[in-house]
Amino acid sequence: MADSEGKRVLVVQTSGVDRPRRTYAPIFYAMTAAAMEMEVLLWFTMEGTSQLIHGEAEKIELEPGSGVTLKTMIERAMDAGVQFSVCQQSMALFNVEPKDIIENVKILGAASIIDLTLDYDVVMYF
Amino acid sequence: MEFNPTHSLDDRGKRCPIPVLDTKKKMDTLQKGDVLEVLATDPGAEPDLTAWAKRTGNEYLGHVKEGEVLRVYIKKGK
Repeated sequence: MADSEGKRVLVVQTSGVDRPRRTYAPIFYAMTAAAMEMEVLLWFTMEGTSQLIHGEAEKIELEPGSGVTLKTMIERAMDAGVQFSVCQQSMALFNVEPKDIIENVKILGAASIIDLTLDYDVVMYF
Repeated sequence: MEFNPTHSLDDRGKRCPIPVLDTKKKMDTLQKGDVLEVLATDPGAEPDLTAWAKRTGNEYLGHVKEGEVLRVYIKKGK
């Protein structure tokens, strides 16, 4: 049995599209952990919420002219099995409605995140 | 050293973490005992694929470096 089998990783992302250079690494770690056959949840809170608003991730290009955007990576992470969730209170703070958030993202509250941090084997904060 | 690969993946020019993600996808299509050869130029590919194989129950057989190109051999373990 692989020693990562059944392990769960929670990645917390607090940076948003206003700080593009802080958006990539957490999602890379998340999708790599999924490729290493761990159960992975990406939790977007504070400014991180902005990454999940329709049309925002498309504006962030990893390398100018490459055509590869943050949206490409979000889709790839979802495809790799990474689960996405967003903080309900952060959405309220930034006047973000559930309809503004891209598909396949679960909206959770504070108690849920506390519950998750206790439950997961590893929590990575960004 | 002869690794007798049964399958190959060309990820030259691709950067971390893409070689790992592509290796996982490709490996999912193979059978236990198959040997995958991964061609990569990313400087992190060798330690990353070593870690990936260790964590996923696959066997890292070894690698060959030819100039900038790294050839990694991984045997599917399950």
